Amino acid sequence: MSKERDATTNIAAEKASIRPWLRLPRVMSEFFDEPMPKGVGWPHVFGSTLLALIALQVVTGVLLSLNYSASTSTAWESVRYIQDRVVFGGIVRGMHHWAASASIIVAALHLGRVFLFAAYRSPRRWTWVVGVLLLFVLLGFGLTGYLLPWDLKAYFGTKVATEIPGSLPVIGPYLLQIVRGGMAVGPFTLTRFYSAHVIVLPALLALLLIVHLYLVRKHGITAPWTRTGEAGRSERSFFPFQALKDSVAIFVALMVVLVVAALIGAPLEAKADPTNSTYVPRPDWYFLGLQHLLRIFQGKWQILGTAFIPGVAAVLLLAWPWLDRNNERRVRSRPVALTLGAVCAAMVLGMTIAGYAAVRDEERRMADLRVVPSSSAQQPEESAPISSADLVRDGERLYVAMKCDSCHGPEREESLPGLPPDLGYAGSKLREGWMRTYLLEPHPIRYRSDGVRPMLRMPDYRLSDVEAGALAAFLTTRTDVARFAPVVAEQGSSPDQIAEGRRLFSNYQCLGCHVLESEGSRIGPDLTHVGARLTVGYLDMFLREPEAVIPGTSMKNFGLWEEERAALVAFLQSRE
Amino acid sequence: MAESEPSRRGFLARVVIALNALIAIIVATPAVGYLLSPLLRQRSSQWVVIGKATKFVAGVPQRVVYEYDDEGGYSVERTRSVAFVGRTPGDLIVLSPVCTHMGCNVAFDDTAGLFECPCHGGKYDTSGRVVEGPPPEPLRRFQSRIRDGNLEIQLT
Ligand code: FES
Repeated sequence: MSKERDATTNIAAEKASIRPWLRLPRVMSEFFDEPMPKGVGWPHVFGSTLLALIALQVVTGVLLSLNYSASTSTAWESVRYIQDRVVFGGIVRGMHHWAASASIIVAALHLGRVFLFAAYRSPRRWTWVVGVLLLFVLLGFGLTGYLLPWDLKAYFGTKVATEIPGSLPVIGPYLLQIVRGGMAVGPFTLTRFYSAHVIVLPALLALLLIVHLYLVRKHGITAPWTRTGEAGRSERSFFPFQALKDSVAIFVALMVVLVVAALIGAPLEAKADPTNSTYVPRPDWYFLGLQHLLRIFQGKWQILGTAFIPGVAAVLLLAWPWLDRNNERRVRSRPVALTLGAVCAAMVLGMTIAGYAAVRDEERRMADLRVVPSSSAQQPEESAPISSADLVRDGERLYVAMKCDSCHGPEREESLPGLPPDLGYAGSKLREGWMRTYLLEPHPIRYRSDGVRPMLRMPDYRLSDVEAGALAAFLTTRTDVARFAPVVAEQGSSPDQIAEGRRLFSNYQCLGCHVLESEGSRIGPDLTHVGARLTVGYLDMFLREPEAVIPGTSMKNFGLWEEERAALVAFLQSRE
Repeated sequence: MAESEPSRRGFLARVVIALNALIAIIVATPAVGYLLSPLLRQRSSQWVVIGKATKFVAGVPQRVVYEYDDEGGYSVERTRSVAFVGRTPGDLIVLSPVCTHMGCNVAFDDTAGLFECPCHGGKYDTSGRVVEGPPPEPLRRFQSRIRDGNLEIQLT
């Protein structure tokens, strides 16, 4: 034992004499040379692991904040931007998301270990109290961070979560307004939560963490399985023996977070929409138990679930070191405490699972009411009856629910270049198959064409195959037969006609403004795949009177004869 | 056993350091990529109409305020900016008002016939050349062209 200590000091002294400029490492090595009592080992890695996860949250959080914009009109857009456009953005966001869950799990394990080893007794009572407060701060991070992406889950989850303080008697309504910054969850809620998430809570976390670590260092590690007050035999130093175990645990935790972040990523649902009436609010998993309390206690008992039970639980947890008067640490000598602990843990776990099951249930019930049954979303699209009345009806409901009309409705003007198109006659213009593919993966059609830049981009709603199919089926039914010839079943055009069209295409110098197979200029739309996108009726009408279809278009009216138009349309239709 | 302890200790110390270095690298890789992301973003350029070409006559440089879409990744903002259009026989030049010294906006002084910078007294002639003061370079000249009777400049 003492031999070892000597060796340690010798090594340190040696190092210092050989490399006197390495003062800091020596200071560090003294810090790391904390003696570990006998019996300390793998169960003691959770504290360090949690510390490392918190450090990871700081790094990824700072990175995210570089691009995040906390306003209701840009929060979701900026998160999407991080997700899709920033190098490693999806990974960084995924790590931040999953490390949050991992922190809660590791914090629970850490708490469980300290409880099992009865390491909270005097003189470490305050270490325990500060630790429990740290757990509350972590939960606060989870709660506030949940809102920031401003998607459906964020909006409705927060709406429900903030109802809880709102349901308290007397002060409830006032509290609700303070927390939300107004009556409803809105821009002020977002900035409040953002401020809490990146300023207030980090400051609190840093403060508590410093105190916690100071106390841990001051009182040392509890010697396992001793009596209170009895000093354990110190064995090896923290570095490198326990440090190795800690490092391995940190490495494993990091790899798990990284792999899950890479494989699953952080979810981002459609942008928050207060009018959505079928969304089942769902908090992050570690709040499912708390949420379930609200389901159990309703009406006049509600306060039991919202305030009383969580409040009593918090106070009991904080006061536990004073409640437990046993002096023994050995497992066999603490039957009451350990049984109590196990029961509490089982209750939290049970409530969480019950809460999860309840949410799944509600979601399933909602799915029946929803525009597209989510069970059918799993089926391959071939088996879905294309354009059947059901599908069209689902599509229409989706169209309304997603508020497509706000960009594509009759109110907007097509004459402004870069504005989204009027879909009132989508069925006369666009092919169903193309719409379905486009909805699944929207891409800018005239993006970056010369001088014409889209002012808005079509968002990717991450529709399922069936949802996209339903929308396309519905849009196909919206036609304008007065302006465009109805779409008849494909009349095959003769190769001669196509050849004639090709000749006309070059005669009229269409490549002066259009691109075909990467030739030509990008003034007008790329025509390489135009046949897959536009209908015969639309192309014909557009060639006949461009101004009538798109007021203010730069497309010239060439005064084509009917046969010329037919040939050109046939040629364009062959470009799939 | 006791003899081998220091060497075992030294070996474990190295393992711990290596493992932590690995952890640092794993976290640093995406972090650095993320930080460097702006460098990898494609620079786009756009032509912006700043006015009818016939509006600009020979004589003193004219100050024009124009608008353009400033695309910032996830938002497009209509933004106002300023340029000076000078007409020399047979040529139109469009100058940026940003002083090449520290980036203040210059103004045109009619009596002196020079662009003057309010910050450190930099002066430029009508074609943007430095005639006085600290600016190291002439005023930046925009690429310009006339399309459909409009004067356009290229913003990069
Ligand atoms: S910034 Fe113009 S002279 Fe210094």
